[in-house]
Amino acid sequence: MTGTLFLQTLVDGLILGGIFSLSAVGFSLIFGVLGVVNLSHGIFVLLGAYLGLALKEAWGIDPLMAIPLVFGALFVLGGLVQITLVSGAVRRGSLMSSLLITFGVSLMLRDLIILVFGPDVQSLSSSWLFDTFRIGGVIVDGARASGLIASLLSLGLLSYVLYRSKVGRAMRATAQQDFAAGLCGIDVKKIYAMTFGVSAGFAGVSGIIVGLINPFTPFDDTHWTLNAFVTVVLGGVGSPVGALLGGLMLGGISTFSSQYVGSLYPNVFIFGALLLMLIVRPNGLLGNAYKGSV
Amino acid sequence: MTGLSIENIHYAYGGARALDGVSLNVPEGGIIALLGSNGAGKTTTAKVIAGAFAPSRGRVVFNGETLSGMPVHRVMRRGIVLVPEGRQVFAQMTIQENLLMGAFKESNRSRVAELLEKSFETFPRLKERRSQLAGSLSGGEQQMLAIARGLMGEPRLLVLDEPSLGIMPKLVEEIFVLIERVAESGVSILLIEQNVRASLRVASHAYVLEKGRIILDGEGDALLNDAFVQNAYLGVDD
Repeated sequence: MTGTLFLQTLVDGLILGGIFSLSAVGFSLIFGVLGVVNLSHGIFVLLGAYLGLALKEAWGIDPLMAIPLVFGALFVLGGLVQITLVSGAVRRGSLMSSLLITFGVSLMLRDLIILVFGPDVQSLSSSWLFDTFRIGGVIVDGARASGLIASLLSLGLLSYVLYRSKVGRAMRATAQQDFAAGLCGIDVKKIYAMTFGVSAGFAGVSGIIVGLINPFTPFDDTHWTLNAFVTVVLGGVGSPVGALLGGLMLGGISTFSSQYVGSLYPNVFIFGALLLMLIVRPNGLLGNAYKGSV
Repeated sequence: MTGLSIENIHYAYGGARALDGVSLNVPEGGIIALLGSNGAGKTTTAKVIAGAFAPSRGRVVFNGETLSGMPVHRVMRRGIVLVPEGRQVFAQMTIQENLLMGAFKESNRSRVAELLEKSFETFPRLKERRSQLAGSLSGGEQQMLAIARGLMGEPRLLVLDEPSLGIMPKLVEEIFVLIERVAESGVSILLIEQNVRASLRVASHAYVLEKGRIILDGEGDALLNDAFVQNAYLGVDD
C-alpha cells in the first residue's frame, strides 16, 4: 500500500512538474534572450485559461482543441507588448524599468480580466476529463493525462524550433551576442518581439492545462510568475530542458512534501530548495544555455 | 562613385566627442587601412559604418546610396559586413551553426550549402571541428571563425576591426595572408588595426586616425617610410 502511495505521489509530481515546466519555459526564454525578468508572465498564463473559457462558452470549443488558437492570440499579444512597451526598457538596458513596465502590464491585464470575466473562481473542466484510468495501482484522470501529454509535446516542439530551425538559431544567436546577430543580418528587434510572442504563447497554452486541472481566479498570476521564477532558478536559464528539469523538481518537491509532511508545507520545501540551489549551484542544474555557466 | 565613402562624420558619446569630421574612401577592390592607437576612434568609425551608431553630422555612402541612419541588419544586407572587435562569435553554438548564422540573409538552401562548402575549403581547420562549440576555440581560431562567418554573408566590403588584437604572432601572420587572399577574390577590405607595420604592407592606401580626426593619409609604402609614422607608430628612431 505504501508503495502504491509513493508511486501515486511520484506520478502526480511528474504531472504537476510538466505543467510547471511549460508555464515557466517562456519566462526562461525571455530572460535568456532579452535579459528581462518578465513580471507579466503569470498573467499570460491566466489569459490563456480565460481565453480557453471564452472560446468554450461562446462556441463550445473543447479547451484542448483551443490550444492552437490560444497560442496564436497570445503570440500576437506578447509581440505587441514587447514592441510597444518593453522595447524601451530593453534599449536602455535597465532591469528596473523592465520590472516596472512588466509589473504594470500585469496589473492592467488583470483588471481587464476582472472587467470581462469578473473576480470569481472559474474552471475549464469538462465531464470526460474526470474519466479515470488505472495503471497498476496508480490512478490518473483524463485532465491530468492530457495535461502532461500537451506539456511534453509543447516543450518538445519548442526545443525543435530553437535548435533545428533558422529562426530558433537566430533567437539563440541574439541571446548570446545581440550586436553580432545584427551584423549577420538578423533584425534583432523582430527577434525580440518574436521571443516575447512565443513565450506568451506557451504561457497561454500552459494556462489552458492549468485550467483543466485546477480552478483559477484573476489573482493567481503572481503564483504563476513566482513558480516560473523558481523553476528557472532550479533548472537553469534559457533552455527548454532546463525548464523541464526545474519544473519536474518543483512538482516533485511540491507533491511529496504535501503528501508526506502536510499540505500546508510545500512552500517551505520549495523555497528551501531554492535557497539551497542559489548557494550550491547559482546557475541552476543546467546553467545558462546561452552565456555558458560559470 | 562605387565603393564606400564616409563624409565628414561627427559622433559623440554623451558629451565626449569621439569622431570629429572623419572622411575616408574605400574604392572597390583592394585593401584600405585605418590605423591609430587606442581611443583614436577606430571602433567608433567601424560602428558608424555598420549602422550601430547614427552620426550626428556627416554621412556614409555606399555605391551611391546613403546608409547612415539605417539599422545594422539592413546595412549588412547592402553588402557591408563588419567583423567586430573582440570577435563576438556565438560561443554556445557550434562552428557550423556560427557559419550558418553568417548566411542568415540567404534563403536559398542550396546556396547556403555552397557557401558553407567554400568556407570549409578556405578554412580546413574549421571543417575538422565543425560540430564543436565556438567557445572552445582559441582566440586566433575564433578570429578565423569570425572572418569566415562574415564571408558567409557574401560582402562586397568587409570591415575588419582589429583582427590581430590579442592573438599570438604566428596566427597574426596567417590572418594577414588570409586578408590578402580575400581581397584577391574581389571583396574590398577596410582593415582597422593597431598593428601598423603589418597593415601598411598589405594596404594600398592608409588613413591615420588620432583623437577622432584623420591626421594623415597616403599609400601604404609611402607611409611606411614616412618619418612621422615611423616615429609615432613604428618605434623607429633615426
